[in-house]
This record gives sequence, structure tokens and C-alpha cells, in this order.
Amino acid sequence: MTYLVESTKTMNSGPRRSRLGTVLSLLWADKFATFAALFLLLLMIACLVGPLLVGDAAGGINFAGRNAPPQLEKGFLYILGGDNLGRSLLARIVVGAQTTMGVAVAAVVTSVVTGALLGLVAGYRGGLVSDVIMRLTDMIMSFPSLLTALVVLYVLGPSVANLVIVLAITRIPVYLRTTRAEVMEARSRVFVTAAIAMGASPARVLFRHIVPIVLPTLLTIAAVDFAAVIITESGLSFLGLGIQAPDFTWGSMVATGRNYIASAWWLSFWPGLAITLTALSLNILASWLRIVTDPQQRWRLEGGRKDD
Amino acid sequence: MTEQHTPLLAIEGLKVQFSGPRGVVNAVDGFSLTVERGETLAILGESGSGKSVSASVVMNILDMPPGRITAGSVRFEGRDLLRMTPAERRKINGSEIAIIFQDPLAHLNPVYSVGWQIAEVFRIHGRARDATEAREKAIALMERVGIPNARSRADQYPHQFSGGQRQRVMIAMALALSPKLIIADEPTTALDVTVQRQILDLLKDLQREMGMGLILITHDLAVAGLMADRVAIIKDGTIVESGGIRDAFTAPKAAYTRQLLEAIPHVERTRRSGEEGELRPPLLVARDLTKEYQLSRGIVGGSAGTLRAVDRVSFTLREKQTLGIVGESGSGKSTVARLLMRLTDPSSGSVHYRDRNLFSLRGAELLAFRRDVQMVFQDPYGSLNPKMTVADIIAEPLAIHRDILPRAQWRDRVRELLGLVGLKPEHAERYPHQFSGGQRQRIAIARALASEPRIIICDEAVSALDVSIQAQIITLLADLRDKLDLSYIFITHDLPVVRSFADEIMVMKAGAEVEHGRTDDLFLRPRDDYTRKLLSAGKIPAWMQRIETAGHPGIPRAETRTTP
Repeated sequence: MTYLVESTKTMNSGPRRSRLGTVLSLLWADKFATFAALFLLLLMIACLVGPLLVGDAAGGINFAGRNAPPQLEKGFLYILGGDNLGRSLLARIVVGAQTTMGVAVAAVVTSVVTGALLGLVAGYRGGLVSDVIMRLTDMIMSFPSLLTALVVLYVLGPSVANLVIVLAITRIPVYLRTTRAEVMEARSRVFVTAAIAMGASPARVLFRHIVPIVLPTLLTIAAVDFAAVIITESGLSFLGLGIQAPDFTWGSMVATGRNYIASAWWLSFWPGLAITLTALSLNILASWLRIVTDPQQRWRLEGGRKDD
Repeated sequence: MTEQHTPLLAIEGLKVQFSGPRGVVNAVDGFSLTVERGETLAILGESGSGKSVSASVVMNILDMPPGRITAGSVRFEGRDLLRMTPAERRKINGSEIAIIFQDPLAHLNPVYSVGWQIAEVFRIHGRARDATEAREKAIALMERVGIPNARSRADQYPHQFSGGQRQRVMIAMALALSPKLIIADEPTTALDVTVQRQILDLLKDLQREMGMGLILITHDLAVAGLMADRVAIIKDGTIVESGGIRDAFTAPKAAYTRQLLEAIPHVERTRRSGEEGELRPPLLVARDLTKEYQLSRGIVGGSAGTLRAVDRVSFTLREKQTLGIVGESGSGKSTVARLLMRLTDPSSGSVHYRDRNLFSLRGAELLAFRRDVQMVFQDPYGSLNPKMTVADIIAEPLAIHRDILPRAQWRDRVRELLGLVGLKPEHAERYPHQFSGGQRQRIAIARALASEPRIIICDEAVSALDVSIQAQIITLLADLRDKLDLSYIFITHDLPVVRSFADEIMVMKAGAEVEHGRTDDLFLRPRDDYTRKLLSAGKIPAWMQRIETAGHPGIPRAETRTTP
């Protein structure tokens, strides 16, 4: 009983805020997540308006600034230095964000959605359907993912769309297997049986009861996967099967800089840092989201005092 | 008693705090008790009362942090355990004080054989010269605690033992070094009633034989009444009543003790639906219901025979009646529930609901059936989706059966239902984890009522709850039956619980019906041996049955139903 009295206090404190207000205050409660969200917001702005602002500086060759070290003398654009053709690294990182994020987001979303849907079916239906899906997954997993990518891109020809498809296919098994395992576990929980006994349709059981249980895990994996996809894409670009010049991504920038690593480390370092920060931000935000969506954890952000 | 007399164990003014998400909680708050050699002390309390925490302190297995001992002393034969070095404590643990846990499966290591694990105790404390001697000692102990074929069974693994046998193994491990004090933490709670009695008898015999002190931690008045010399009743971390068990139970001083005693199911206080039940029209009729499972022979497949989970069971549920189905684990009673809810199909036999065969219902007809028949599950922690608010949970039947109520009225209906089960309207916005077990079961009942059902199937609906809460829930169910014209099928392993509530009882064993009849006939004139065994196993000692709580009118009914 005391338990409930206490929670009454915490829950009814203050007037009811709007939904957005609640989300923002929960975000503010976790300072790391706030920074991560700000960074991603910045990144989103760069993706949208970057090419308009500094598109020329990213494309124009300027031999005077070849491998220019980070400095302030050449102006604001060269604060991070210049690349092997003298283009501003800052401008290229801003412009490259669009392609990089485009490919990575498209690949991760495709693989999460496909993997989760197939996993839901396999986990919930079981039987022959599940067996067929699982054996197909085993086949994908038994090829080295880079080899699969090479073969497919060689046959279909390198293009952004094909790159997304290849990256997605090699990632699907992770989501599929995780989803299936979690669904099978969730399916045996009593509240799922209770819903079925109440007459809930399979769709209702899946999307109202099982998906909310599985989703936090998938989001966490997706956030980690994001960096992996960017790295794989840069590997493929390096092999000449990924993004083709004049398009470029952070991954291909790292790959280009590799040749100059001994004399001009900044060529690889800055785009590498951009990848790391993006992945880190997504990770932090994903773990924040996991806490927010879990009613039993949310108190940590709702001004839960720690008296110890 | 000489002046140098020191009790075996003396706990004085013990205080334990836990720092948790909602601040500091005093789990144990000023706790003093003594245990003499050869004596049994029962620590009686409901879940969350701090009874297990105090045992953890004695055994030095309290998780610190979050736990913290802030005051008090624990003296074992005069030596303060709390001031000892870890090495000294280890020497006492196991060899002089031993503990028996509630869940033997969780406390036995699944990858070692049982004999090895018992022998380990001898090896750790250096009481055996070599592995062979340790093994021989382990086998002797297993025989002593009543495990047949001990020599061959010593090489088996925990999962190959039944629940009762596993508890015997735990007892063997506790006894291994002839300790002076044994702490038994809910030793029989996880076991079937008939097995419970055997384990308690074994403990009692061994105690008498070896002259140990025994601290029995339990929530079960009957267990305490059967075993203990003295009792300490605790609530919210403090002892509210202590003394000789008969004094405490026959002349209780604390209001809480009376409340506990009130919860003992009494024959006089019947909550049945009344007489002339035979005349009411039948609602649900099961005929020769049978469910068989194919046992597969490993990965290669092929059938290794069939298991009859339910074997030609027939019964009739009439309007406004309660049918109790009683059996121990493995009796097939839960399979019956699954069949009635049409969560699985039978191998043969039929169930007719209002003259329609349940197993031929499809589509809209099945949906209509699902609306009329609802279920309340055993585990109130698992049966509510932790990610949904109470309002969403209770409104779910309304969301599934769209023709009951327009969406705009759901909110009011949810509030009405919460009131009906004794909760408050403002509870609607909370999540299940913010409620206690009894409150969660009330939420589950509110959900079952949302679709205005005719029948509610309760599968062990009160088994996971504390005794005083059990009584409240049963009272609630009976009230609702009278108010809403409900019929119940009440599945349980606990005969006394259904006595006050069910009109008819069916006793099941190994899938088949053993005995079936009106409640009073079955209790007063049981025909079958198994029924008699169940009755005697669940029985409270005779002297306790004579406790007349009506003699202490102290607390009025409304107050015992603590509204949250």
C-alpha cells in the first residue's frame, strides 16, 4: 500500500504536460541523450541543406590546398584541412552526410522491416513456413557477407539502389533471428494467451502485444548496426563496387585517405570521426528510447531520486 | 536455565534498509527473536514482510548494496555474526547454520549430478578424506532423507528428480554437516499438497532425531500450526506478535494476527450460490473430453507413445454455479481450462455451450463464445502486458469485441469496472508493475468482466497470492457472481480454498476424474482414497480448526478487505 501512495506522489506531481513536452523533459533528464539528439539534429540539417551551402567547395578542385593540414589561415572551410585534390574536408563531410546517411538509413530500415516481418511470421506461425524462412536465412548467413555483396554488385552493376539492397540482404538474418527468438519467447507469455482467449485476432496479438516487446531489442541492434553498414559500404566503395565518383560518402572518404595516412592523417580522421559520432549518438539515443518505452524503467528519467 | 544460558540464536534490534528507486525502505525494522536448541520457531508473514531478508542476514547472503544493516546484532551461541570476518562466517555457514530454500530447482546446479553436489559440502568443509568417502557419505544422506535407490540416483542430475525429491536433496545438503540450526525458507510452498506433508514430516523427524533448532519461514498458517513450538508473526518488517503458537493463535493479541486467522477457510462462512442448483439450466456441458499428446522420440521423430493429459472427463456447469476442479500438478486440470477456452483442440469428446458444440464454432460464432467466456490466470504478474496501462488492459476486450460499447464510453466503463473490483478510478493511468499481486489479480478480473461474460474460468486464480489476499479475492468473486449472474469454473490445487466457494467439486488425478459431487458430500463423505489423501494433506491441525474467529469480532468485514 505504501508503495502506491508513494507512486501517487510522483505521478501526480505538476500539471499534465503535452506529449511533446513530456518527451522533451524525459530527453533533458538524460544529458548524454540530449547531446546525441542535438548532434543528430545537426546532421539532419546538414543532409537537407548542406549541398546548397557548401556544394561548390566540396566539388571544386583546388591544387593549392592539396592535403592542406587543419588550419585557420585558409579560411573557415579549411579548418579541418583539405583532401588529396585540395577540396575542403569540412564541406565534403557536410555534403557527404546526405549520401552516407541516405544509404545507411535505407539499408538499415529495409533490413529491420524485412527481417522483423519475416521473423514475426516465422516465430508466430512456426511449422513449415518457419522452417523455410530459417533455412533461407541460414543460406544467407553461410556466405561471407562481403562475398555476397561482391557477387551481387558485380552482376547487377554498382549503383546506390543496388548497394542498399546488398547491404540490407546481408543484415537481414540478424534481425530475423532475433525477432523470431523474441517472438517465440513472447508468444508463450501468459498475457498473449490471455489475449487469444479473449478473441484477439493474430494481427492484434502480434502488433499490440508482441511487437512492443520485441521492438526495443531491434532498435538497439539497429543503432549498433548503423555504423557497421557505413563501414561495409566504405569497404565496397574502396573495392570500386560501392558509391561511384563523383558521388562520395564518409566511407569512401576514409578509403581515399588511407593512401595518405602516413603524411596526412586528417583525410581519414575527420570522416572517421563523423561515422563514430553518428553511431555513438544513435546508440545513446536508442538506449534512452528503450528506457522511455519501458514503463518499469521510465522512473529513472521521471525525476526518480537516488537517495543512496 | 542457568545464568550462562545463551540461546542458540538471538537476533536483537535488527534493522535492514534497502535503497531503491522510491527512496529508502526499511525491510526489517527492529527485529528481535531467539531460537533454542531443538526448538522450532515459525516466522509467519506475507510476501514483502521482510521474513526472508532476516534469514538472509543470518546466512550472510543479503545483497549489499542495495541492502544495508543499520542496527542490531545476530548472536549465534553468543558470538555476534555481524562482527565476524568473512572467513569466520564461512566456517559457520553450512556447518553450523544451514538453509533450505523455497525453489530447489533454482538452487541446485543443473550441470552437476546430485550426488556430486551433496558430496561437495563434505569436500568444502574438509569432512571427508577423499572423493570416495564424500560420495559414500552423500549416498547415506540421500537414503536418510528418503530417496529410494540412492546409490544409482546419486549420478542423476537435478532435472531427473521430482519437485519433492529435489527438496529432499536440498534437505540432505543442509543436514550434511549436522548443523545446529536450520533455516527453512518456505520449504514446501512450491510443492503439491500431498508432497508438502511428507517433506514437513521428514523435517520434523530429522529435527527430533538430531536436536537442531529450526527456523521455519512461511506464509502458511497451517504449516506453522503443524510444525512450530513458537511463532513470530511479522508485518512490514516488525514483529507484531510472538509467543507459543497455541497462545498466539487461540488468543491473538494483534489485529493483524486476527486478520490472518480470519483468512482460514471456514465451513460456516459459506460463499456458495445457494441451494436448488440442480434446477438451473445447464450452461456448459463437457462429455468424455479427452486430450492426448504424442511423445516424440528425440530429434529423429517417430512417436514414443501417447500421453493422456485429460482422460474422458465429463461435467456440467449450470447457470450461476461454481464448479471447482481440484488436482495436483500434472492432473490435467490446466489442460481442461485450455480446452474450455479453445486454446487447444481435444482428441475426442465434446463441449457444448448453450447447445452449440464448442469445437465446431468458427469465425463470428467463435468470437461470440470468446466474449461470453473469460479467463483469469494464475500469475497476475504474467497475465497483464507490462507495456500497457491499466485502462488499455481493461479496455482490451472492448477493443476486440467492437459491438459492446462505442469507443467514447470506454473510459467510463473502465472506471466503473475498477470500482466493481475494489480499485480506484485514478488507477487507470498506471502500469501493472505499480500494483501488488492482489491488486493485479483484481485488474485481471476487471478485464475479464469487461465483455459482460457468462462464465469465468479461474485457473489457479488465487494460488500466487498471500492467504489474506486470497480470501479477499474469493469474496470479490462471490460478490460478483451474485451481482452479475456469473458462473465460475474454479481450478485449483487447494481443496480448502474451494470449500467455501464451490457448489460442486471434481477431483482429478492423472488426467481422469477421481470423484465428483456436491461440495459438502465430498468433504464430509469422500469416497475415493485420493480425495481423502488430499483432504488430510491440506488439513489444518485439529486444534487450529477450533479457533473461532467469530469469537473475536474485532475487525468488521469491510476493514479486512483492505481497499488499496
